[in-house]
Amino acid sequence: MKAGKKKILLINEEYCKECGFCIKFCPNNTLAKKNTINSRGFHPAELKGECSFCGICYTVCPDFAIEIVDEEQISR
Amino acid sequence: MKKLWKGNHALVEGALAGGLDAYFGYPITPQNEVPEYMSLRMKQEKRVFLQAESELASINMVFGAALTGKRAMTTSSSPGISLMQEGISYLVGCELPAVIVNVQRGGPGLGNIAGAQGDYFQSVKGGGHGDYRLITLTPFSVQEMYEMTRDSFDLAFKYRNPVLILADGVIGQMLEPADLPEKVPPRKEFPYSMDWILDGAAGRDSRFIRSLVMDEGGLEQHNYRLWDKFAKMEKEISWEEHGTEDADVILVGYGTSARINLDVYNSARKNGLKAGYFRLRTAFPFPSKRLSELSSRSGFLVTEMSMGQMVEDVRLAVSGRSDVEFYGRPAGGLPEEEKIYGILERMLK
Amino acid sequence: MSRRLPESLKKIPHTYCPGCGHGIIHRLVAESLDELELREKTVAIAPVGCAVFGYHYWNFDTAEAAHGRPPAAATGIKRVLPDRIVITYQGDGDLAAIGGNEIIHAANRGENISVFFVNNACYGMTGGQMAPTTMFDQVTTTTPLGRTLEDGYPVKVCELLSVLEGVSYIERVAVNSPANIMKAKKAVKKALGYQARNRGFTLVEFLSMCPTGWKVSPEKSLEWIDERMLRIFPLGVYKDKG
Repeated sequence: MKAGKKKILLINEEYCKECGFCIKFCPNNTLAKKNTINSRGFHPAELKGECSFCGICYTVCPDFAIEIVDEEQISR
Repeated sequence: MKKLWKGNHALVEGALAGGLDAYFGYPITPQNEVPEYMSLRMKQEKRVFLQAESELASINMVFGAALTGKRAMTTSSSPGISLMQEGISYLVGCELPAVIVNVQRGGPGLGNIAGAQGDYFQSVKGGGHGDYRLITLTPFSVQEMYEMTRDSFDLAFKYRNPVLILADGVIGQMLEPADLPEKVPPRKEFPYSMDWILDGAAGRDSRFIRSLVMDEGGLEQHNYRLWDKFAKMEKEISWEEHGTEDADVILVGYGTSARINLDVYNSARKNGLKAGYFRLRTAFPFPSKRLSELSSRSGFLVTEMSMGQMVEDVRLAVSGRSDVEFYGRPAGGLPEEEKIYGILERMLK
Repeated sequence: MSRRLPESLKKIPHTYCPGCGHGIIHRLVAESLDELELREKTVAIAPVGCAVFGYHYWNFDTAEAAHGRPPAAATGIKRVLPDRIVITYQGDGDLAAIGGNEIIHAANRGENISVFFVNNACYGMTGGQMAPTTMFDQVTTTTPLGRTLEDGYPVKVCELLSVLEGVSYIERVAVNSPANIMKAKKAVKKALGYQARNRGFTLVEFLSMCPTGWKVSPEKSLEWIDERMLRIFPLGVYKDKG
């Protein structure tokens, strides 16, 4: 992967079960619980500020709800 | 050419002829000749033999090998078969082919090591939990130990269901002449679809095999499908009959009890008695229709090495249209020819 | 770095409770199979317990065995398909209670399979009863006053199995922090790598969160592992024959 590629943090809100692990371990404190709920009644995590794309939220997420992708992979 | 073979050894040769890939078993009398001889023969034929740590492990090793579409088998005797019932239920639920042999001994409990026929209900009525059936073959000679075991794999794969060979300690331990090929015949490939096996999802979608069906109504539908299959097994009904065209009383048995009946039948006919002879080759599916037809002119004398299990299926088939009498001995006692003859004479009067 | 969900996972949400460790462990196994390019060679056995539904989430061949019998079923598969990767995924009840005999003998035979053993110190699926790995004083639905000596000692699976000659690699890991999860992933890959090189029996024990069974919040469940489980179940490599 080339440096400088634009990254995106994807949060699959429908998969999220509000365990809070990503929020707890985010080194930048940029994740928080959303005010709204998903179809299963959970407040999904959302990105509040600048993300460093370290991947810790992906690592600790038990719900397959977080991915970090290259922007071009998305637009494709 | 006929040679002297032991039933348990002939069974091993039959399994090899049926293309057995993997055998898993745990020693128990009176079938120890099976794992012993099998351990040598499977090595010689470069196939898989493993002595398991228990019958629970044996049947679940069979389950594992069956998942991959291989021909897998285990053998045991009554107490060991009881332990396997959970695994057999899972095999049926998962629709997996496998062959299980029960060389029956006396029970209940640890019982004894004599040949017996006390496991008929367990075999044909679904011995484990749930609502199911097993194709149940009942060998009567050393030759049939070979042939039925050989042919059981085809049946197991045809229906994707375990096949049980319900033998007994007498047939297993018996030595008699049998005509077995000198060499293991070439493996016969089956024409059945194998699009269900688990062998790694290379170049195809991943698959799963399970018996847990939790979705609303799903298990009910699964059971209906299984029972369609059990109904189709009717085609496999097999029996042998002699003298039934003019018999007033027909002797009914299977395995060792049928061998005793055959002697009684022959003496009765020699003495001019109108006796008939009928023996099951399949206990499930059960030859109900044929017995029902025969009941229009004949009564029946059922003999078993138990206090009466198969006789209940005969009574259901006959449905009160003629007399059904029973004589049996439990726990390894052999029905006595004189006794059978005596009852036959009384019934014919 | 990009972090995409592995091909070895199906893209569907799972039904495990919030904070349950199974999702993380499922993903670690899936990521490892992807990275080692073993997905298409793998046949897995799911247990009876919460993870019985593993086959809904894994995108490789999977079957479900009777309770406690995955090591026997895996043995059956591996013996007839020795070039495939065969794994079992088992909980503490499945592996250490009802399946105690099967796991000991599979390990002792050096059966060339990888066992992923999830220890959450309780029976999750049936509602939080005592497991063989439940700790003293731990309250479960069948030890309402806490486990006592009358119930026996918690079973230490890594310690128990590591003395068997057939075992090539055993490690205990936890999935309650990013660092622990990364170590756990290394252990999974090591076990699978050993199997691919025919090194014999491998097992990774995961200390895993069960917030529902422990009756704590997901966040508290992370601390619960540190505070309560690590003293009884120390992390580390218990055997490595290389």
